[in-house]
Amino acid sequence: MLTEQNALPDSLEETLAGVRHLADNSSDLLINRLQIGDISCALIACEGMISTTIMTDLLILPLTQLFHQHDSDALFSYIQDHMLLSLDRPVVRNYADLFRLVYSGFIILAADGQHKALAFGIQGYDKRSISEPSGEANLFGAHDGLTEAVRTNMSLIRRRMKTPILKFELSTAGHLSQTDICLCYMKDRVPPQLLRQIRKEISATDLDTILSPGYLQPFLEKCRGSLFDSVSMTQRPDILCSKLLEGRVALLIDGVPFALVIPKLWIESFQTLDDYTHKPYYAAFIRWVKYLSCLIALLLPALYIAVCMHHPELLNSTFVLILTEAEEKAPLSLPAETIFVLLMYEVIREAGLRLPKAVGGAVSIVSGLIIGDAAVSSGLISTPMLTMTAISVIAGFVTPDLNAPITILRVLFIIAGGAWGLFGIGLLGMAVLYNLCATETFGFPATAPLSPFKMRSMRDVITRVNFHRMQSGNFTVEEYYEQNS
Amino acid sequence: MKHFKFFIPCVLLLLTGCSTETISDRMYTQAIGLTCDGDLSFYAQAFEKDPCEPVTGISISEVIRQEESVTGGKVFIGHTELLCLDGTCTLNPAEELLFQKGLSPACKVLYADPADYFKDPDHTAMIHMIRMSEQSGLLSITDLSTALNEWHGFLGTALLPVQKKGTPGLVLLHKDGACTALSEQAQKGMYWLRRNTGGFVMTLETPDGEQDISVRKIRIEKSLHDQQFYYHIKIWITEKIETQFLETLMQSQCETAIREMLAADADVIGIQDLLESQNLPLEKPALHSFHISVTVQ
Amino acid sequence: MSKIHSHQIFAILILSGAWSVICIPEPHGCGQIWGTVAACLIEMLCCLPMLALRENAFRNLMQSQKWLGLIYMIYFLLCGAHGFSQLWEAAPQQLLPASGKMTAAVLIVLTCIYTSSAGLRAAARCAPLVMSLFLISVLVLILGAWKRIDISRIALQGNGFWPGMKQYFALSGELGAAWILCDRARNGRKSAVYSYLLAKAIFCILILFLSITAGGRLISLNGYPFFTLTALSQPLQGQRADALYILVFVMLYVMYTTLQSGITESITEMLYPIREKWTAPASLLLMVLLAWSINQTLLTDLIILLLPVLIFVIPLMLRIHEFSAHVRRKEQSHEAF
Repeated sequence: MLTEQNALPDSLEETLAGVRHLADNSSDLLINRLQIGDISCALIACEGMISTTIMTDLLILPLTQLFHQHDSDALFSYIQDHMLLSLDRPVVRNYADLFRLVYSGFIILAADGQHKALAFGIQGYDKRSISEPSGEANLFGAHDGLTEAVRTNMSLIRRRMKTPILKFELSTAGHLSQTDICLCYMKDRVPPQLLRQIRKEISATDLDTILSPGYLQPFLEKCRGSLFDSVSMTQRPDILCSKLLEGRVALLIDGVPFALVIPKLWIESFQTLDDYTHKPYYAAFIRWVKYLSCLIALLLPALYIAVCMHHPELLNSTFVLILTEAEEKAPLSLPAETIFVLLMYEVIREAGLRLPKAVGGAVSIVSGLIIGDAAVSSGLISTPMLTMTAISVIAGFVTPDLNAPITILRVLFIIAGGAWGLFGIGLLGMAVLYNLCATETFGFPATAPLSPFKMRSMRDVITRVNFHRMQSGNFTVEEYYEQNS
Repeated sequence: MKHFKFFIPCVLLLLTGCSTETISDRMYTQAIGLTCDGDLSFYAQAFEKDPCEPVTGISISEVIRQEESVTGGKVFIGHTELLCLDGTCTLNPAEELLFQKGLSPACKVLYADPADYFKDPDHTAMIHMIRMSEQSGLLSITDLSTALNEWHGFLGTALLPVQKKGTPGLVLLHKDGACTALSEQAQKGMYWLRRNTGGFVMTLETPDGEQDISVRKIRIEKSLHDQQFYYHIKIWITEKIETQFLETLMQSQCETAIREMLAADADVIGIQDLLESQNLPLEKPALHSFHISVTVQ
Repeated sequence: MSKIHSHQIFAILILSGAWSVICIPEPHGCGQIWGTVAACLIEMLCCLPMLALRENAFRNLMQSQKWLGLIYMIYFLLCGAHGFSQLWEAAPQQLLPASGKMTAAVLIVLTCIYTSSAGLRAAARCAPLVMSLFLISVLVLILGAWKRIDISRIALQGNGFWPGMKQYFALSGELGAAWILCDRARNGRKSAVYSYLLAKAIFCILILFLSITAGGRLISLNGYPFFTLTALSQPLQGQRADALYILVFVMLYVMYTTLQSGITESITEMLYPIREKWTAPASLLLMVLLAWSINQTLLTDLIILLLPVLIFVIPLMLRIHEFSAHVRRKEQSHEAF
């Protein structure tokens, strides 16, 4: 039975019959026969994937000039050795490679009497132009972001790192999709064991297709049950380069405008490129604002509820009276009220993401005026509680990287604080801290450099020292490696 | 295992409304009063509300429970600013209020009959008056934890403020419920002899006329040698005046305070601590064994 | 089994030690401070043979003398049981909002089951982070108590030296874990252990000092010096802030218990090279059962009895054995020469 693993037969007719059979006469498959001298040949391509201009000028015209060729072996060796029809010219020996290359924008030249075919990379499919990344805003950094084409992304990185030490390793993953993936690393500083393990994990994946980074991420994060990511994602080539300089490994996936970076440290969720543009004193201030925002986002509603319900002695008597008056009319308990508001916020946020832009304005009006204002005026929700929740939600925007764990943990902390006060918050806090401390990937703990503590790294954690001192670092992520012996 | 995983979120959701008590269901007392005429009587008044009817019971827990059933809300005494006691009750129930019921150790303890006091109370004004008097150097700083510490001393007395016309005064409350009022001179002497702070202005009648003197800082050094008690008080003032007069005045005030205190069989100036620090027997010392010295800088 | 850093060893031991200190049930007088100092010095001397041994000495000993491993395991189970009984006695002091001691105990044990399953490495990483929070709370405690300090309450020749010394030994259950943790340390073992001993003594003396000078006679009335001190010290004017120390209470107990169950899991792994995820949680439940069955005084006495054997006698014998083997080898090589 004919399968993709079969080698190409030497008869052109059988080759084309095999291609048609395996593709089941798919409408986007183009097969054009031509005679080059005395040799029957065929060009196989996929509609919309190739550049017809390049095909005509750089392929068809030169090939048709080869009318003096009489032997397919001589033809192929002449084309391979004396003609440079494209820069990318792999040799195809089986149907699997044929289809992979055809659907990657190559054009295949098959000839009668040859067990192989020649492929020419003349991609011409439509792709999105380089634009500013939507999720990772920066004031002073570059405004270009990664795109869906892996080769474009490779060029974006290479433009910033014009050194042969930067290495790219292309391979494929996904049985059906044959997605191009590219491992990027700096060969003089990447930990060899990290690279080895990543290659092993990728080759061991048994996926049919890879449509988003989330498909590969679980295979690279070795800690199941961890609330926090140990593999980061970025859309910015400048950030990617800075991570590669620290000895990390990046994974580019064709069709995905994000790169996976391994390993990720939890403290990086608070670092942005703008921190390295501002003066050190301001950068340090902003850094601490982010740390505080994370705590506020996570704990403010829970602490408010815990203190109001179980430990009002911690509040000033004036404050208690204000809160009592505000909560008098509210029909629900404080935790229920808070969870209701948070759920409404999540619904509005999700609606804002999915709605067409034209309707976006209506969502703002409905959520802000109708729900917010009317709910408070009618007494359904109290103003202090709404204020606390709003502050918490806004604080969460400061660290978008931690949005997912903060959203869920915030609700859990609210329940714990409401049910058991500071005792419940303490217990849950310890559990979350343990979860964070147990998070690691390939021997790199997520809590580094806080624990294990590295004094030298505090220059970019507690504060941000100036570049005069930073340049003498020679820091690589291998310093944090902890071996399992 | 799958069903167990669904069980957890359901339990968590139930916990959100689990507590039926909200912040507004509580009664936040601003002042409470206790009397013990056979049974314990409990008086309470919440912030910005009228005083509640007194309830009686045999223990603190019982009276609080009764108060909760009368008011319909949980009684919360963590913000109580004033505890009113008379000679019948003394400070015995205050300990339970502090350690078991969450009363603030900084709560002021006022010596007054709660039945009279709660008839027409203005707690905010009273508390304000006590605090202002303490800050102006007219009244020695007292609070619940200081009073309890003194109460459990070997002579078992506590120094408490008392309601008077004008500024509050000071009384010594004894274990048998008797109380001894201190004279104005003794009250001033007590201010110098106990742990008090500076930062106030006092008006003195000096030979040169009435003068305002700003006291910046006060330090007291206590020691015991050969069964003689030495109290050396240092104060720092901003004005340049004849210090001899002030030193003599302060010394006389301190001596009056000690005399009245010993006459009332009380120890509110740390005599027990000095005796214990040298492993000496706890006995009431004689007046002549006290030596006061004052330095004004 | 991965390595632990010296600062992690210090943090995890000091936090476990701090748990025992905050659960001191009754003060014995000013002499207790001198008793603490003396006990600390004795412990420092006792640790010398243990710290002179080479890396992996404990692991090798366990593999060669499995019966010793069982004794160590029993010791740590007793320590965990002791910690639970301390929790049971001290919980009412904290005015916990969870309805009843039983609910509070169940919740905290469930949390410890989760944290124990994360392993000793997670506990070691967590310790420095928790220690920073603990230091902040100690600062807040000092700030709150500062206004109430009356130095004249301190008696230099006060009573309580011997009871204080005995009590300090009873609080040193976690010292047994020092050898096992040091076995996994890369370097800095001596500095980690001695820093821990010193820091724990300082913390204990600080609590005793503050409770005597700031708490006065109320401490002996109410007992539990640490909790009474938190009730009396007020960093916020006019409001009680002792509810904040519920967080400290929870953090320290979780660290203490996770250390005991983690160490038990490590020893099990050394004795029987099968790593089961449920070893640590199972040991925790066993500790709870022991706490229910054995009286706290008996637990304290057993710990005081076993501790010097485990951290001094056995390492000393091992050291002597190593030294004599070394001397014999030298003699043999001289003869051969």
